[in-house]
Amino acid sequence: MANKLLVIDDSLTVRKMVELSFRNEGWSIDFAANGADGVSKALSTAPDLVLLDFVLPDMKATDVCERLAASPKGADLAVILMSAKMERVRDLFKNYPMVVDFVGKPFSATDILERAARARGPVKAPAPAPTPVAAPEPAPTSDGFSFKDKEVAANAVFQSIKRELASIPEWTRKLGAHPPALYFARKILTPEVVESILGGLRPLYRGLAPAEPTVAPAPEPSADGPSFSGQTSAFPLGDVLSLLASGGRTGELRIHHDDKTVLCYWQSGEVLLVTSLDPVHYANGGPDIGSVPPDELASAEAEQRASGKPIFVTLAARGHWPEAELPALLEERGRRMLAGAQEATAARFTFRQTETLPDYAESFGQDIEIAAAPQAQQTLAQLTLERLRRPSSWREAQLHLPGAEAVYARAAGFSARLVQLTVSANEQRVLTLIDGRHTVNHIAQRSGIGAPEVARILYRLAATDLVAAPLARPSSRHGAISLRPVMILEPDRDGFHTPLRELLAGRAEPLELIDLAGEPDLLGAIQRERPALVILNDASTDAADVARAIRSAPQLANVSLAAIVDSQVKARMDDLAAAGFDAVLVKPVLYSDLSKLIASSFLAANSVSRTRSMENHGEDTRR
Amino acid sequence: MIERARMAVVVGDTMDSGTLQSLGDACARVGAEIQVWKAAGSVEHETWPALVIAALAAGVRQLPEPIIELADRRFPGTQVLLVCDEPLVRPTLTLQRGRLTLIEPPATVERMASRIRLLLATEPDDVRTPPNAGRLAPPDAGAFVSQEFRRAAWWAAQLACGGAPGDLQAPRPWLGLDRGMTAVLTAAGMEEGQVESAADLVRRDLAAEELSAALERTLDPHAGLVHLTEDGRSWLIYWPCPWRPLWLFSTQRLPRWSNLALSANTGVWRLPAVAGDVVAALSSGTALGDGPAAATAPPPTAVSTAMLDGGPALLAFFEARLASAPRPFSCLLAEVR
Repeated sequence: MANKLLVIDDSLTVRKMVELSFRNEGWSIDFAANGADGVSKALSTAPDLVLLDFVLPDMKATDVCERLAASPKGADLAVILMSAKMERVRDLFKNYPMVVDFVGKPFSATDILERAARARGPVKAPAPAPTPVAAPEPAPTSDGFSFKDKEVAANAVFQSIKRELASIPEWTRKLGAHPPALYFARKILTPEVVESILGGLRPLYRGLAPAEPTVAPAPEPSADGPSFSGQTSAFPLGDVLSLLASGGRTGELRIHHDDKTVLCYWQSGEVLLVTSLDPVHYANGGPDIGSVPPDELASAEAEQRASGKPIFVTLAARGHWPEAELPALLEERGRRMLAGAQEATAARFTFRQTETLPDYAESFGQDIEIAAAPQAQQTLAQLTLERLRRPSSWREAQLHLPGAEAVYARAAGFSARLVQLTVSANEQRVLTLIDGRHTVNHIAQRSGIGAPEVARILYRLAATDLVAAPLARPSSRHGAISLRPVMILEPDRDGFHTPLRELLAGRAEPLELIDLAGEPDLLGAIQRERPALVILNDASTDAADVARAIRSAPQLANVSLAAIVDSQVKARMDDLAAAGFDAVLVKPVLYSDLSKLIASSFLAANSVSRTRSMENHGEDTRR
Repeated sequence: MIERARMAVVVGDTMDSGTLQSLGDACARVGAEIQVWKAAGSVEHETWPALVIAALAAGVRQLPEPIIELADRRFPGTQVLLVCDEPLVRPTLTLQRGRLTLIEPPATVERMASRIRLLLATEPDDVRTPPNAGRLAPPDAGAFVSQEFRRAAWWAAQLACGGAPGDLQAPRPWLGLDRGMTAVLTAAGMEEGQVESAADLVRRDLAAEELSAALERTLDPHAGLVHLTEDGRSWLIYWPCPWRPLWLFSTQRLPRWSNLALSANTGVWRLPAVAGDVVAALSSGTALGDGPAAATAPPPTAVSTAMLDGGPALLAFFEARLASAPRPFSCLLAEVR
């Protein structure tokens, strides 16, 4: 019976790597793409070994260990932790005896197999390969090689391609309409494999009997060095990408186009990360980096110019960028860089096979889908549209938002562009009302969408050339939108948002309401926007945890926090106040209380008192 | 001069013909007489109206002379309803200890009718008010009965409808009008003394836990109580029966509509009251014709719209429903002015 291995890692690349490494080595492998699933599988299947990634999408690796340790079944497991930052994370696990070893990313198959063997003792041996029956020394054949020579050669060829042969069942599923012979040949006979075969056969061709005739050297990746290069005029970039993908290549592809150098890091035929040697080119159209200290930014840019390391990675390492955002951000930037390269009319490329990739590519890289060349331009526009829909880009939009009286018209070629893009229902609604006559306010009234959202939609439609620039100048730099918004985390199930948005918009200095419902990285979003006030619905979130997280972030010290609870349970309200909420309001919340809270959040952001008493005050009669 | 309990004098000089027409319709809807008064050809009224109604143009910050003439000199102390031509902080607004009521546009017939009905409601301290005010006579089968009362800080009403003969009767509503407003939706078999004891308890200054325990001992678990303090600044709610809707509607709250029955069933709940609050305690949601889910479901749009015009508009909505389809139903309504 095979040893059971459970791999807890959301990276498809790592999972594939582990699968290839352990295949035919006497292990049955199961995978979990997140911590919760991993804990569940570990406790239910009791694997002989768990490979646990340090960075998981839903929880920390320490939390996984904590949950395992809480169960007798889990405490008995053996865990090997995988991380690109081995030295930094090792201490975090010293209290978890189940963590028996650490492996740095990237790791080789030999390395991980050896560690697995050490962790669980000798693994059950795979079925032995058929041993050639001893036979009398055969006579040389007509070609001058003995049977033994040919057996050695056959063994060398087999050893070189056995890993690829093992992938045939998986490839068969992807075969589709490809001619099978050509498809499998391209998959198996990669330059590395051929080089390995030739290496194994070299002793025969030299006419020398191999010193160790039984086994040819294992197919080690070749040393770093240029593998091939060319120009897209002769060898289209799309073909280069297909070749690297189908060949399962690992290494660095440099693409030089329009005075820019784009670096694509490949791992086993997948694009893991794409960056640029030009930090300005890389960051252009990306999230706002205006709040980063200039010297830190300059240093990160210098590093990117030298090595291609994305500035966001450097900034995250120095605490100036939320690390949790990196995978999605690098993927988005990467898709953009690659699409830009594909769109270039002329480019040079060089592929260099490497054994290892930069650690940041391993740690934060995501599989980047390669779009077909004709779709590259469309992809760029769609990417822009999608990026500007995210709350993280609203700060950028805010700086360019039109005033409420601005008028937009449809851009030339509007119809042709529109059919290439996927627009949201609200974007479609706004588009139908753009006629070169109606103002932002008019469109907001007629569409039923709030004016700030209409302005953001117009901004992103302009960025994708669907509408022309505003015909009227904004009445003020920030139009109708404040620089410090109010954020709310509450599914709008009881009609809270619209009146609150109206309340904020009706102020002398209108405030924007940002809806955080569905935002996966709540703390990251709050850190980006630095709102004056965050309102959390106690019923739908673990509000106390969120409050503690916000209160432990020094840069969010001037953010006011309000919890909204459904009923007046004193103990619960006290708990929330203790967790860091400035105010705990009971539904239905009085406008006057909210107004006071908002006013105090803006007037005395740094000196808000905990748990204000909410009382009624006198009021003016007219709006 | 004879005082007419249901007569309104309209300051014609302030009002366009369209508004005057709507106002006539609104008065007719609530059974009020209307007389138009013009400063130029002023006629001496032989009767003392219950209400003076005038329009107020946008931007005007002082009452025009004709209104002062009528409301302060000819009929001093009379209630005044001003139909304003600009948005106010809420749809209706009450000032000067209840004497001056303003409504914001649109001055719909429903909105004006609601305010006129409120202003014409009985004052508990009025000498003409019967001593048993607040005790609603049981309705006949297929008919409904209602009562309304008004003080400077609040308006309250109770309504009961008898279903077809043989139907189970809806719980009896009970209104206490002393030291604030106390509304009790009773349960079958409850004695008057129990209800009065409960009303007496909430008027005392007891701690929440003590009051909860006392009310639990006094009231049937199927009965609920809502008390508004005399100054109209605080609600006290004891509602152990989540299956009976207890709505709170206010344009000054988020969300505008809440069913407190779902969140207030953990003892006594005190929450601040603000002008514009409308509370509706219902025996069931079935008077709305929405089936069993109505107890917890949000009210239909027609009800929300009616609530926007205040408690009397909601009462009129229920009455219209019950007139066309009588069923066992009772409710207590209150509005903070």
